[in-house]
Amino acid sequence: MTNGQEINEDEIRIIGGGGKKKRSRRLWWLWLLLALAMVAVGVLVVVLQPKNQTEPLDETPVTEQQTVDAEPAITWLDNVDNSQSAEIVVLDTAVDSMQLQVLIPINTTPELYIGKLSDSDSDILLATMAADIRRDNGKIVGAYVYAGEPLSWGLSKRGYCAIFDGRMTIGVADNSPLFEQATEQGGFFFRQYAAVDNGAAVENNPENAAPRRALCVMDGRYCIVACADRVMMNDFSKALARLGVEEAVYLVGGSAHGWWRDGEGRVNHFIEGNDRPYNKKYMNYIVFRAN
Amino acid sequence: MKEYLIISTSVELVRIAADDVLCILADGNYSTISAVNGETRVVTLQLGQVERLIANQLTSGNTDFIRIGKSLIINRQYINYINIQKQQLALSDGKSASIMLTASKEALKQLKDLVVG
Repeated sequence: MTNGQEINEDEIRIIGGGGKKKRSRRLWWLWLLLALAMVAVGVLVVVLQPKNQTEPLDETPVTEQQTVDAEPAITWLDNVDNSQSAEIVVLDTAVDSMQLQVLIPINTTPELYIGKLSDSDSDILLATMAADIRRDNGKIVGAYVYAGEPLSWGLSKRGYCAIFDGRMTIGVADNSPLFEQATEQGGFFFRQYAAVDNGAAVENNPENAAPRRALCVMDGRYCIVACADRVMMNDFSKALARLGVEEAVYLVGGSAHGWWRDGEGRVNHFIEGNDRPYNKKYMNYIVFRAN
Repeated sequence: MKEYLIISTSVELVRIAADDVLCILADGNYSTISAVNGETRVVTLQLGQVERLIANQLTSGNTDFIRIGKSLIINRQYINYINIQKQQLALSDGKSASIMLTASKEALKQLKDLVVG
């Protein structure tokens, strides 16, 4: 079957039906012929080869090339000085050639924010879109609680993030009592795709490649890991797990609005040039405010 | 007997006769199904996932649905006009339903060859 595979803008393909089947059968024969030809060539080479050349010429053992893992990210997180003033520490790294940026909020308080958000609010050191919004009705996808007020219900994605009194919990569950707790205690709650659960990458269905962002727990610290390149969701989840992330949920990726403020107060947008929020009622962010 | 397609996610279901689907457009993580009667339905599935669902449900021999590039699936029954130079593709049932789409020149050339046979 053809379907759901990658396709270029310049390509077309018939979905289902029989057209593609014929083609694959032709290919099957082609491969069989090719394999038979290779076997025949192999047999000829062995038969015609002089015997003395079959003995090894050099007995030096071949050293197997080893892949050395990059130093675990946890080490750098340990080096992040917690006594500094409020700021976003940014670390660049790569996992399997995937360029990642780890943003660690220091001395900040997380909370959710709904509505248009300006990057001129200097108290906000990091902001990035949190829950998905439906394009058809502009409403939030999945359960969502804002300052104790439930604004959306339902399980659409298994990952969740809950915030009470500035303390954040992220995890993976079909039903989480933290939704009710958020409504009772004036907290925040949203749902997103799960990325990492107990240190293992979580498989997700979306197959498109896009810039990705995730809210993560690594060595007991909260951080946001972003990849500005277009990557598959499952590849990004695996990279997070390899990085040492223990729990992670996705944040809105692609060209989603978001920024962080560096030590000199400069605003850096996740996607260069994308400095304007969408004009939607339920535009929502997770923000980290300076303590 | 009409052949029905069922596009189902964890929270919603769209049941629509295959003949009534004009086209399906990608919209990020969503897909918009345009029906011949003018209705549109947005489902929380990417176009590739919708494509797979359709492929699994179509009876063999039904080659009506064609994926064009990354963002479009059309029902070939409704191909009404192709202009390769202007990169235009119009779908219509000849009555009320009509939609003008764009696609790459190369894809439209292949589509035109497919239709001409």
